[in-house]
Amino acid sequence: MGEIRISWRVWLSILGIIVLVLPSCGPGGAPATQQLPPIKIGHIGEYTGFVGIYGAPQKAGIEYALDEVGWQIAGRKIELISEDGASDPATAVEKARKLAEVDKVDIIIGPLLGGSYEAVTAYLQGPGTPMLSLMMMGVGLGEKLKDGTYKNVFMSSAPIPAIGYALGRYAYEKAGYRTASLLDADYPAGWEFNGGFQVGFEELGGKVVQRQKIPMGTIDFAPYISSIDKTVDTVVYFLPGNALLFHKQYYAAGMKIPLMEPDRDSMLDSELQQLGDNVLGLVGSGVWSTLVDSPENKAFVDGWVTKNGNLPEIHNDAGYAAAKVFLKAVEYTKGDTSHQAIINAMHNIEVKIPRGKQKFDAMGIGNSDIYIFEVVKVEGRNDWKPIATYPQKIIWQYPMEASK
Amino acid sequence: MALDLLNAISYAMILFLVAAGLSLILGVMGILNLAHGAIFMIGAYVGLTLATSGNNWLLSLFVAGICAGIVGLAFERAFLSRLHKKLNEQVLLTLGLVYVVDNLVRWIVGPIRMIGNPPSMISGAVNIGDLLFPSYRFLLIFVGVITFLSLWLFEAKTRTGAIIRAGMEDKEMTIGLGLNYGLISTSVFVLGATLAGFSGFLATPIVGAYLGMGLDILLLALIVVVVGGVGSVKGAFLGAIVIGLIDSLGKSYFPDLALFMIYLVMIIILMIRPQGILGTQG
Repeated sequence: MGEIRISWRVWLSILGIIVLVLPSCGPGGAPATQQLPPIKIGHIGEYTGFVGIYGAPQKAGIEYALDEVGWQIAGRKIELISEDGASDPATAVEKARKLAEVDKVDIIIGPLLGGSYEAVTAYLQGPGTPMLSLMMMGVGLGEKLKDGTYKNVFMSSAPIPAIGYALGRYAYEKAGYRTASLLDADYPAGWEFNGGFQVGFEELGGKVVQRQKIPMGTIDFAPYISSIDKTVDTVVYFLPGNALLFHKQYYAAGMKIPLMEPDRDSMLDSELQQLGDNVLGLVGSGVWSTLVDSPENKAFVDGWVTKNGNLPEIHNDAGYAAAKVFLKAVEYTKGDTSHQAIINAMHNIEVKIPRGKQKFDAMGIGNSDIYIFEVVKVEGRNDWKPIATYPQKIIWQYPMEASK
Repeated sequence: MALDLLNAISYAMILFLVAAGLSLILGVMGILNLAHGAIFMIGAYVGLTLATSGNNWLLSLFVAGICAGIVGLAFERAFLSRLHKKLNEQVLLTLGLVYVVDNLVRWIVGPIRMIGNPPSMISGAVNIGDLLFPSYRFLLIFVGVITFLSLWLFEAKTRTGAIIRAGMEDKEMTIGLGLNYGLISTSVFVLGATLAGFSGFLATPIVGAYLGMGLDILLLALIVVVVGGVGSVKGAFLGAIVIGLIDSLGKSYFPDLALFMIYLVMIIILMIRPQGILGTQG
């Protein structure tokens, strides 16, 4: 047998190939999947402006969901890019443009503010980036989903009046109220929450005898409180950002008429503690609280407390739920984050999130049940306990004024 | 109606306490201090932080005012004393300070809204006929009136007050007479800041403490100064009463006009009497 001779050039070539290939094969090398580009989640939260207290807890909720999967799914790393929508539609659109065109994110979560969300959805019809709301949105946007104008937009639950509608029905059939005075924050969400209440309440025979429209940014509610018709059975208010002030001034004025809040989310849980025992018995509607009885919610709340040392807030849940929905969609597509793949997946997935099962209908509207909550004392803190559940009903039309 | 009037006057007293300092600083020093609202916010957060930690309410009020005064002194010495007669620079700098303070509060306290409690002895409501009125608002009216009388007497009846008035008429002549007008100007600035700090905490059971409150209150205080007249304690008081009444009664009786009624009044007064109701020309 002849001796095989390998020249030094061949040895160097073989060694070079081994050096190049080894990192992707051995246990100590980087996996081949890391070569894939990261999945990018864009978040527009309100960190400043009149609803500027909600952005940070939303982001924390998204991060918590990403922590659960180790910031990686379907073999791809995940990046979160969070921007400040500044409670302002024009700013939110600027941030959406940056997220969609510069960062090229795979989905945009938020913003919370209805006007900002609608402005961003309109802009995103260009780039086509899928978009998921954190909370319920307005009827105007719902109609665009209904008629098929927007195919890349998803609402976590039915348009806003559905939330108020459930409370209106509860007020009549369970609480036994027959008359109500309404205070609307004077912008579309305010009209819609209370308009939904009026539909549900009056459908059963109740009567809304008074509706006061309160300009945004009002800090002294005394003139409105003194104008409330004192003969009504309940006072219903929607005053996002300023619910705490309203409550304080309402009780300070010696008012005893029971309050109802058609969006319990408008007051942070930390604010609820500041109202002490006065707020016990307050009834409101919404989609989540720490006391919702489900295995997913228990796991979420317990895990959050272990990690952060405090209970999650509603906006932590909103961020967490939105991220969970997106992660499920990516899992469904096996890592394909093209816009159309994500949109198709969103219509086909069912996700168990703390508030219940989340599924989207053909329009892109989520199916959350509506809970009626009552503020109770639990382990020394004020918290929202579910006392009734209503299936959501989409309300496309609602009144703007009290009944004559 | 009585209830509406009381609500309006109590709200006006908060406006007066903020606007009085702003007006004096503008009148005496010629400084448009847009950071005045931020100082109001510092008073609110400092006082609330102390009060919610179990400290005595009066002590919290006192410390809130003192802290605000110290911050005011720092602003004046470090920045504003170098910007005499430079209105553009004053506006830019003090507006920038608003954002600096806002972000510092966000950093230290977090983006949470806080609300104060009145002292326990006046936390209830008082019967007025068939209606109830919060006792705390009576305290606000009392404090507002006492502060007005004190400032007015100080301005009208004391030697220092006479120097202040003289300085507002002719600053150069006042300095030329050998009076230490610089010290008096700085003192007025600190007094205004201290008042803003006091009122920031006093207002917390009504308006709470939140990010951005400095600009909200500043806007209203500026309207009060424009309506009442610059540099006049009486003008600030009258302006606050006018704006408080129009804002509160407007919301009760003309809710559709509530949003712009105070601006309308300001425009009308600027057209008829540009120097404000009690302001002097020049």
